[in-house]
Parts: sequence; structure tokens; C-alpha cells
Amino acid sequence: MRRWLRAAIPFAALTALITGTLIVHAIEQPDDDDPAYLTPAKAQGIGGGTLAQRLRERGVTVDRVTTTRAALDTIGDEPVTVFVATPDLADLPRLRTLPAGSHVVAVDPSASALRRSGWPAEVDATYWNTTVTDPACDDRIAVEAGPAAVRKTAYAVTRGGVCYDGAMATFPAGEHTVTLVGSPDPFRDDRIAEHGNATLAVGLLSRHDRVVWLDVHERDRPTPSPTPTTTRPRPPVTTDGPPSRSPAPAGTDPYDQGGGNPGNGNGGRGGPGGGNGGPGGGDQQAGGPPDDPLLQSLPPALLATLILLALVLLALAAAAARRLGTPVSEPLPSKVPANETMLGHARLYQRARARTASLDILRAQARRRLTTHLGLPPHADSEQIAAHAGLPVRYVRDILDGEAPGSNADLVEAATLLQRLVRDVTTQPFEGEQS
Amino acid sequence: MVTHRFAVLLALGLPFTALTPQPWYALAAVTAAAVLLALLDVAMAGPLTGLRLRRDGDRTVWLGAGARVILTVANTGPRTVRLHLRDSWVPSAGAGPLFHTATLREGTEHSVTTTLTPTRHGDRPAVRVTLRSAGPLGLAYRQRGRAWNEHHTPPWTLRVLPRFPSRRVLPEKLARLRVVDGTVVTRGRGHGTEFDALREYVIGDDVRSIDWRASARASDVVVRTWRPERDRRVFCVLDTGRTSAVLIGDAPRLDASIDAALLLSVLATRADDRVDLLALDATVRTRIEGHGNRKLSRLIDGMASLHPQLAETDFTLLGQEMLRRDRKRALLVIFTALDTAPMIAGLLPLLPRLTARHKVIVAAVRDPLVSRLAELPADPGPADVHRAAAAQRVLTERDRVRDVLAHSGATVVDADADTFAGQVADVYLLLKASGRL
Repeated sequence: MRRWLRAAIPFAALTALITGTLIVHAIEQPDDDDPAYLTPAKAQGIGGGTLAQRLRERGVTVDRVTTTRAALDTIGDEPVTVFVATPDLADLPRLRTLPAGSHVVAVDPSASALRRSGWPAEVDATYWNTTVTDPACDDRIAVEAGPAAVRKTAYAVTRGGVCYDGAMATFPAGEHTVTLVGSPDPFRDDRIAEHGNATLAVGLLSRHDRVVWLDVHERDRPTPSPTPTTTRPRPPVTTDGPPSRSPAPAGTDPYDQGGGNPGNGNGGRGGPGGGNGGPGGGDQQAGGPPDDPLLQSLPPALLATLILLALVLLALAAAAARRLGTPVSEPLPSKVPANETMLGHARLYQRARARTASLDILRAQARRRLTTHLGLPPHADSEQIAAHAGLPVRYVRDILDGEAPGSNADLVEAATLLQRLVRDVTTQPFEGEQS
Repeated sequence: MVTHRFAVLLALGLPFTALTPQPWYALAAVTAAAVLLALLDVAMAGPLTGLRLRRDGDRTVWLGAGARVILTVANTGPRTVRLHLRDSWVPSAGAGPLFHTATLREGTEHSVTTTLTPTRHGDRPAVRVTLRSAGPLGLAYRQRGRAWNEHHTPPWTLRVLPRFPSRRVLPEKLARLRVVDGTVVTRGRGHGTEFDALREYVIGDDVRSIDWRASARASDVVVRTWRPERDRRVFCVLDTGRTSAVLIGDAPRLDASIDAALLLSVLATRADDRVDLLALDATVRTRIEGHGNRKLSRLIDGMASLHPQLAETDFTLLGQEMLRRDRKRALLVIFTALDTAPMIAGLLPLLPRLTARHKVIVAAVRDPLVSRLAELPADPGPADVHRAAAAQRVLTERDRVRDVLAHSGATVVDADADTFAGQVADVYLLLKASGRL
């Protein structure tokens, strides 16, 4: 048990430390779907209000939009700067239709976002935390800004150029230019004042007179559908009717005839629902059990065999369930373990290191046995006992009236001597009466 | 209900559903065939209502020995019964084998033997015989509910008599009793104070017992013979309270008490004394009094049903019993434990009044573990010394209780379990020999 603990505790502590660090790190990282993250509306913490304010001070218009489609709608034909604060959530492929000469600034796009966007860049390295690096390139904005806290993700591009050890990549994509920034720190309110962050951020976003700030915090892009063909042609057919009714004319039918038609066919349940209940029910029916791909994909032989196997197992369970007589119970007799109090006392003495108390008990008992054996009064002193037993007085006194034991070894020695004295006196033929 | 064979039959249909071109029809056909066969099987199984059960065999057994109980099943029904039965006893009866199988033609009987090796004394009842009639194909069977089976079970109770290990010292004690009795004349007259008979003097008789007046009437020298008093009362009191539940070795203290009480009862009955039994804890558990030929077996029966109860013993019940006005002087043997607290609260306040009217023996079996722990082992450690001190403390307390009891006028028997019964018997024989009963 102890050895096991000794081996386990360091590992457990290490695991707890690592897990705790990971959890704290994950909590500290701003989330893309946090509405306060890099939003121009808020000037505190992880927001981007300060940056928007500085841009406005430089005469740049900041337009906040919340979906990619809205962004494209507001842009028009003039070239603008599009600031994509959350590229993982935004619909990047749509940005291909930006006006010529526009700039796109994307903050820390992940590898999947890059793949989706179709930009000629990929993630080169990811770091645990944002670090400050020198520009080490001849980009005007970067040189002006100097060292900035941008290196959290490094990118590799096939054309264009990189700064800050790959943490800032600029490259042409179609008719516009894209800049990837490896860390959100230069844009964040709580970090913008550090190093050359502010200069870099403002410089990147003030290339045009207008910034379209893409403040997306929910998944913006459409979810990919597995079979695009099935979604489109399904017509809102069959009001209540069986599927045998040909779907060809039904494309317009139910909407045209509204509340009139559904009652006449199979009456009954269509009554109160009227025309609106009809198409809904029909839709459900069409997408219901008969189309269940799992059941359709199984061959009927396998299905039947599986059902029979289930029946076999059921029969086995039924056969095992009925016992030939239930077990019989009876009350158990009361039994009390012996000497619990006595052994508890012993453990208590030991834990309290009550060496004196223990030895006193043993000495009193030994004295009693000796006096009884030698025919002396119960409270006879050691001299009398020694005299009657024919032993040296000092020896008997040392044993019977010795000092309190200072250690466990003393205690064991004293107790052993005591027992030996009693044994010697009581087993030897008693000679006291003759003398 | 169906058996495993039914499942196997269904499983045999698996290839059909897997390989035929019409799996759903195959599934239906296999299931229907199996169910039909099972139904047919149940219909052909012999009816359970025609079975009659009865039992025979041992009614009593000493604990540690084995007993045999025979269960006979008779088929009075119209058809053959393929019978599976389970003879359920309480677990402490140690019954075996539990399951039996037999095929009974109509009008025949079959006997199964259950061997019982009980693990505790007391009454061990047979609980239930569960019957199952299987069909000829073995696919399905008939079985009724628990209540029906319990109703048709013939009742049987095996009385397990308590362990009596001191039986082996009984011959020796009986021999000593005969010496006391004067039946075996080794040296002169028998001990005792009660006049027995006159007989002719033979050489070796004590001359002091010559009855001169009778010798004058007869033409020969006649001596008087004496015998110990008869028809004395011995009253065994068994404490079945919480202190009797304490394990001495691997058996509760009560077992040792019962053993000693049994030996004493047998001895006293042989000596023509009257033995009564009272077992009490919070209430009186057993009371056996009065005369009769079957007295001894009644005593043993009474002791067999005793079990330790987790209750404080109320010795005032004993006081009410023994201090009744019409109660004659008796030898009161109280089997209990020499624990300080229960003694001070229970027996001690009562003892002076008891000893004033009766001869009281307080008998308690000692735990050998305490004496062993009180001595240091060969190579002692500090734990051993502390344990010895604790044990000595217990021994000192017990000695004090013993002294107080002796001071109140009771005789105390405090012995290890193996010699306990013998020592109690010795005290009785001593009292008998010295005419102090």
C-alpha cells in the first residue's frame, strides 16, 4: 500500500499540474464565439474598441457587419479593407468577390480555415503563447511598427512575403491582397498598447478609407450537405394522400387549392388542419421510416437472422430466469467478537506510548502473584519479597520498583525481567517456610 | 416455461433464415414450429397435482453428527411425470444434495435421501420442496408458484441437540458419583448423612457404623449404611444475554455453558436429584421444571432451542423466581460471564438474598486467549507488552469480581472451556459427597 502510494503520488501530482495548466491555458484563450472578442463595439479586455477608435481618429470609416453576406452587400465597388476577426467562423470563400485592390486582414486563421479559403498559404508552426519578434522584412507597415507581439502561429506562403518569422504573411489572392496575422494580440484592447502593436494594427487597417469589420461570432458559412441532389427536387407533394398519387402535377397543386382539396380524399384527420396541415404531414411521411437508410441497407436475410438470434437469446434468458426454488434465508445468530475492549486498550496504550502505565499494571500483577505465592500480605514491599524468595534485594527492587521506562526497548526489557522473576519464584519449590 | 433446449431448437433455425430466399417466411416458420413443439411438450408433461409427498427419517441429531431425511414422492396422476425437485432447507441445516431427478410412472413412488449436517443447534426446518414436471421432449416444463409448493411440502423439523463435548468425562464423573453414592463400596460405608439400610457386617466395614441395638436383636453384627441425600433440587440458570454471545474460541460462550449444564443435568439425574432449568435474558426464554421419566430429554430439548440474544440480562427475573415463598432450598448454578459491569448491575445486588436461601454457584467460562496474551511471547515487542498489560488488567478485574462474588457467599467456577464442564461437575460432586446440598 505505502509503496504503491509512494510511486503514485509524484505521477498524480505531475498529471494534476499538467492538466491544470492545460485547463487554465484553455480558459485564458479568448473564444471565437465570445461576442466580446475583437468587436469594435467594446473597448475593454479582448474587444477591439480601442483599435476602432484609433482608426476613426485617422479618418478611417469603420463599418461593423455581423455576417459575410452583409459585408459583401455593404461594400459596393470601392476597394476597402476587410478585417476578418474570426476567420474560422466567417465564410471566407465568399470574399473572392471583393472589389479589385481590396485588402483582407485575417487574424490567426487555423489550418482548416486556410484550406477552405483557397488562399496559397498554410500553417507552418503553432506556438504555446504569443511572443514578440522583430519584423525582419521590408514591409513598410511592419518596419514602421517595429517589434510586435504577433508570433503565435507562423505561416508559409508560396507567393508574397512573410514578416515576423512567418507570423505575418502578405500575399495576393485574385485581385485583392490578403494579410494573415498570427496572433490577435495587436488588435486586442488589453494588448494594443504594448510594443509596436498599435502601429502595426492601425497600419494594416488604414490602407483604405474604409474598414469593413467582420464581427462574426456564429458559424457563418453554410453547412455542407452530403447529397445535394436529394434536397432540391423534393416537392411539397401529397397532402394526405398515399404516395401512389403521381408527384408530377403536385408541384403546384396543394398551394393552389389550399383548404378545399384535402378534405375530400380520405377525409378524417385532414379536417381541422386544413390546407396548412396537409403539406407538413405529407413531408413527414415522405422522409419517414420507409426511407430509413439503415434498414434499407441491410439485406432481409440478415435482418431475419438477427431477429431470430434475438429470439434465441430471449429464450435462453427465459429458461435461465425460472429457478427451481428460490434461495432460503434465515436469521443469523448473534456473535460478538471476544476481547475487543481488551485489544482496543492495548492499541490505545501503544498509540499513547503509555509505557509507564503498562509497566505499572504488569508490576502490580507480578507483585500480587509473588505475595500470594510466598504467603505474604498483599502490600508487602520488595525487601520482604526478596527475603522470602531468597533473592538479592537490589535485584528484586530494580525489577519491581524500577524507574519508568524511557524507550520501547527499556519497556520490553523490564517486562521480560519481570516475567522471568515471577516464573523463577513461582516454579521453584518454595523454601521460605523452612528458613 | 421453456428450457434451454427450446433456445437450442430456435438456434437450429438460424441457417434457414440466413440462407433461404424468403427469410421472413423462414423466421415465422421456425418460430411457429418451436412454439408449437413447446406447447405440445407442456401438454404432454405429467400433471403436478397428482404428486403426493411425505417425509421420514431422523427427528433429532447431535450437533456435529449427520442425519438422513427421506422424501418420498408418489405419483397418483394419470401420466408419467419426469420430475425435477429441489428440497430446500434453511442454510444452517447443511442439507445436500439439493436437486433430485426421477421419472415416475403412474402409481409408483420414488424416494430421495437428503443428508443433513447442521452447523448450529436448535430447530432446523425443511422450508420447501419445489416440483417441476418436464415434457417428454425436454423443451418445456410445468412448475407452480412458491405458495403452491410451500403448501404441498410435508413439514419436517430436525431438532439439533447442542454440542456435548464433555460427554467423554461423563463416565469418570459417574464412577465418582457411584463411590459417593456407596454403590461401589471400596472403603466402608457410602458417604452421606441419610440412613439407607441395615446389613450384615463384613470385615473392612467401619466399626463406628455398627448398630448395636439391631445387632442385639439379630444374631449377627449389623451395620448401618448411609447414602447421600436424594431428591435435592439442582437449578441450572443459563444467562442467554449479550455476554453469552461473546465468542470463546470459535463458539459463543453460551455453547460452553450449555455443555456444562448438560453434564451437570445428566449427573444430577443419575444421582436422583431433581434438575430444573431456567434460561433468561431480558425475559425468561425457557423454563423446565417438574418430574417425569423424560425429564432429561426435555432438558436437552430445552437447551437446544437457546440462542444468545443481544439484550442485557435481567437478573431480577431470577430473583422473582428463586425468592418465592414456596421455593425450597436448591443448588443454584448460574452460568454467566464474570464481566464487571453486568455483574455489578445485575447479579451482585441480588446475590446476598439468594445465598441466604440457596447454595449458589456462579460458573463462567474463561477465554484462554486472555490468559495467553497476559504472558509475554518468546521474542516480545512493545506491542506484546502493551497487550499483556491490557490482558492483565482484564484478569485483575475478573479476579476482583470473583472475590466480591465469593464474599457474597457464592462459589465461583472460573475455568477454561476444555475443563469448564468437568469443574462444575466436580463442585457438584463435592457438595454431594459432603452433604451440603
